[in-house]
Order: sequence, then structure tokens, then C-alpha cells
Amino acid sequence: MRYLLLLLMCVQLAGCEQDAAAPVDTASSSGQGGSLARFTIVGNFLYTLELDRLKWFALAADGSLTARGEQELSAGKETIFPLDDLLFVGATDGLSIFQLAADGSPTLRSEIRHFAACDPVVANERYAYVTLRLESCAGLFRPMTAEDVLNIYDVQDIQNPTPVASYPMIDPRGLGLAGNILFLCEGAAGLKVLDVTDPLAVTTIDFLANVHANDVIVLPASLLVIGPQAILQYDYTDPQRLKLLSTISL
Amino acid sequence: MVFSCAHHLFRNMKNTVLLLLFALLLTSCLEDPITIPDEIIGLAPVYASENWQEITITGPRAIENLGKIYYKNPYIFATERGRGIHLINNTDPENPLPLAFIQIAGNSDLAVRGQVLYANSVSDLVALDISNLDSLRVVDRQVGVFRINGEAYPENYNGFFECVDPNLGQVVGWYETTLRQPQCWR
Repeated sequence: MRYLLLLLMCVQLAGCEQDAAAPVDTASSSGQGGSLARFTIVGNFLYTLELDRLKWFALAADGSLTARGEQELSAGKETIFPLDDLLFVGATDGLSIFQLAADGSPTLRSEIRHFAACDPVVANERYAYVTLRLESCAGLFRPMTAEDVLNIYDVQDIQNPTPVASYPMIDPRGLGLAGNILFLCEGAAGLKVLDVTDPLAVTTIDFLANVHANDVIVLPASLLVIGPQAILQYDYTDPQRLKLLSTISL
Repeated sequence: MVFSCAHHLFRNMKNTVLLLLFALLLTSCLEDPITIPDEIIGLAPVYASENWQEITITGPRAIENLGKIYYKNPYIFATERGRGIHLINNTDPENPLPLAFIQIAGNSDLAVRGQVLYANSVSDLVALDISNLDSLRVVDRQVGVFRINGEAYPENYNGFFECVDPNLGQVVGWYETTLRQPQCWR
């Protein structure tokens, strides 16, 4: 009888655990970072990425932090991109996909290796878009033979991501996704607007060559483009003709 | 270059000084000299000042070396590499309004949830209440969350970095920034 009660208690507690994984409190929702981010908030957890380590913290209602765990990773981790319960981590040697549990802990599901490069990544449910850059990549100042590219991977099955296509680029850096439009920063060379409806036939539909673009954030009503000394804001209602709204350079 | 080195060798083999000269020339012939770039992203040291942990907020200031941006309606948060975070009110995208600058030593990343801004500061992780910009409040500080790299040079890093100047104090960390004609590398 005692054991039955114990069992019932365990079941009850398990039920409570599941209630704790209820939908996010939208009153204190998080914002969004660019593709070069190393911090990201998913639900009530903050994830911080270092070169060889991923840490996560539970965030209380008053904003205070409780360290919940850390995971050692192979060196060279640079960027983090959240999508639902997944974390896409870009590194100098590849791309890793983690799945987040209700308690916030990440589990590595798959890794794609590529040649050494700086590689921010963005993704949707079907594809991950990764730019690979060598020549001006911090920490890799000796130019190598492979070229700078945009790589597209099919990530529908996160356990088995597969390469789909690769497109040469000039000096690719940060990127941002708006439906079937991919904004790709080409550093001093400018900002490219790509139609990625068909990953096998990606086309450039606009190219702002007079902009120094390092990263972007796609907002519902505007596109933020950051350069070394300015933030530009564009109306992208017509993605073939971006319209400059404002410039912040102080 | 190689031919002129060989020429020196054949002229006088007995003279040890010339032999040494040859060895020197050979090394300089074979060595591939590093080209110091005018501008490149690399690491620079964060020097400890007595109050590097102090976080203050000032009026808006010029953006000199933009790092990363973060957006939480209606604000744009833009990092000033290694120094802090610019706050901009983007309620009207055609007229964004710079509001303030939060000084955070050794900062490179941030995220915001509700009215709380999370930022790194050298080795610490801080949580700031930004609901009232007239009185910025530190909600939490987790000390020693992030590894501080070496003191004479950045560890686990191959690339250019700003040489350490011992006259500027103790190095408490390294931050990514744009270097101009850096003289140190690994």
C-alpha cells in the first residue's frame, strides 16, 4: 500500500513537471538577435556560447539568473540561432544542431563538418543557410584555397542534415531570413537579397553595393543592417527594391 | 631571392662570418613575412581599472566600433565593441532616436527578456533592469561565468591582437574589435 502511494506521488510529481513546461509567458518575451549572436533566450532560459562551451541559465520573473548547466563542445563555436526547440550553432569547423528539453538542457542531435571558416547560420523548418568566409575571418588570417560561399542544408530530419547546394559569394557574413527571401551581408561589398524559394536555383534579386553590411535583423516592418559604424533601416515590402528609411550613425 | 642566396654561398665558404651571413640570408629568403593589415578584426586587451565592474548609463554617444545588434520592440540595442551598449528607440523606423549608452567593460553580447537586459562583462554575466533609464539597476551578477583568457596574449587564439601595454594595468580579458595595424599575432 505504501509503495502504491509512493507510485501515485511520483506520477503526480511527473504531472507537475509537465505543467512546468507550459507555454512561455508572453508578457516577458524576449527579443531577437542577429546571426552573429552568442547569446540567445528561448522560453525562460538564457543560452551563452563560448568558443568551446555552451551554458544555460534559468531566468526568474524578477530577472535573476540560476545556472542550470553547461556542456563542453569542440573548439571554434561562434554563433547561435534559435528555432522553436532547436539551437543551430555555427562553428569554424561546422554546424551543430541541438534540441532543447523542457528543462532547458540541450542535446546534440547532429553535426555537419566543413572547411575552417567563419560561419553564421539561420534556418527555417526545412533548410539551414550558412555563410562560410575565410579571407577576413578573425583568427584565420592566412587566405586558403577554398572560396567564400553560401551553403544550404536540408534540416527537416535534424538527425541527418544533408547538403543541398553551395553558391560562391564575395565576402559573406551575417544573414537574415524573411520567408523565401534571404538577406546576405557581403561586408564592404554590400548587401545581397536572394530568392531562396528553390534552393537549387537561388537568384540574386537585389544588390546594394554602396552599403557596408556585416549583419542584419529582419523585423516585421523593416530590415536592420549593421555596418562597422552605422545602422541602416530599409523597407523591404518590395524585396527587389529595398527602400532606405533611416540611418543611425550619431 | 634564392639565387642570390646561393651566390653568396659560393663566393667564400671558409669565412665563418659569411657562413653565418648565409644562414641569416637563407632564413630571410625562405621566411614568408606576415603582412600587417591596415585594418582587421582581432582581439584587444581589457585592462582592469579599479571600477571595471561598475555599470553606468549616459546620454547617447557616437558609434565608433559597432559589434552586434539585438532588437526588442521598440528598442534597438547595439554593442560598442568591448565598451557597452547603445540604446535606440525605433518606434518610428524613419526617425530612430538614440536614447542612451550603457557602459559595460568588456562587453560583446546581449539578450533581452521583458525589461531585463543580459550582458557579458569580461568574465561576468550581468542582468540589468532597464525599465527606468534614469535609474539603471543591476538585478543580478554572476561572477566568473566566462573564461578570461591569458594576460600576455589571448589563449586558444590564432590571429592578430593588440599588443599588451603593461603601463595600462592588468589584463582582465580580451574582446573582439577592429585593430589598426596590429603589431602582435600568434
